[in-house]
Amino acid sequence: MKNALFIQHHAPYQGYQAQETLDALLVMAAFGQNPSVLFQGDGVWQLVANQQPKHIGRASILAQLQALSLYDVERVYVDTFSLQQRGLTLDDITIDAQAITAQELAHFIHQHDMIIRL
Amino acid sequence: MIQTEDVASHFRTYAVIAHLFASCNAMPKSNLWFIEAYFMIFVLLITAPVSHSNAWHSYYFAQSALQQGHTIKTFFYGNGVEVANRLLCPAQDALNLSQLWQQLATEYHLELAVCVAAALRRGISDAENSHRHHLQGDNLAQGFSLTGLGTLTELLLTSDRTLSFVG
Repeated sequence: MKNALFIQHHAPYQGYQAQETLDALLVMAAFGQNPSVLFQGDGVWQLVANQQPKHIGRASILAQLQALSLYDVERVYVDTFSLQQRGLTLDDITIDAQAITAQELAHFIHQHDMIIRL
Repeated sequence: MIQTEDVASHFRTYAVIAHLFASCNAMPKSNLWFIEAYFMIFVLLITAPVSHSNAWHSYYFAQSALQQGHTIKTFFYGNGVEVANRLLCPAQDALNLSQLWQQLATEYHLELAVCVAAALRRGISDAENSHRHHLQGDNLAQGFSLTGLGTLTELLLTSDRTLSFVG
């Protein structure tokens, strides 16, 4: 088994990158591979409440992210420095995610065999 | 206009890169380590559109690695799927990346896997999917095949090295 890390670093509705990274993550989880996902950079906006994507004809990515544990994605992380830079705190995010600090980041990423960052 | 010289220098650069990636394989795993240590399975995850230089880097990398005897498996995802549109028609003095991939695929029996969901949401479809979704006509270029994300997972799990060409 390869230890895969998916990095979500795109804002939720800027292009399809966030959705497509999530889709790839869910399929890998469905294969029983226990992948990790890290929200970093503008990717942390995916976790913020009160998204209204209907106005641009899109489905809510947050609704899918809130169901990650149902899809056997248990290892969910958020980069606290990315939150800080955007004036957000852990209280603003609406899913269960483990905090990773700037100091821990390099070591955390290095623990994985494969990084998928679209 | 792209000069032959540029292509040659590209080739040299990519040959070196492919060699570096292959030679950094750490531990021998079997009696055939001297073969395995050198010939690798590279999975190329390509999300860069044709307009992005990374789409071209992926092609030249594949070409160099194949010429050195490595195995290349491609997965076109995100905006990378647009190279599979057979209606792409670049200006006369530009190269057609779609045709270049097709030639490489024919020469080395490559499978050019394209994510079906990513393709359909960008208006690229084959006859079967057009029929299923009641679309008029189809435009998937020859040599490319539409496939699910399960294929990507399988490729990622069986690769020695995964390279992303993101755009």
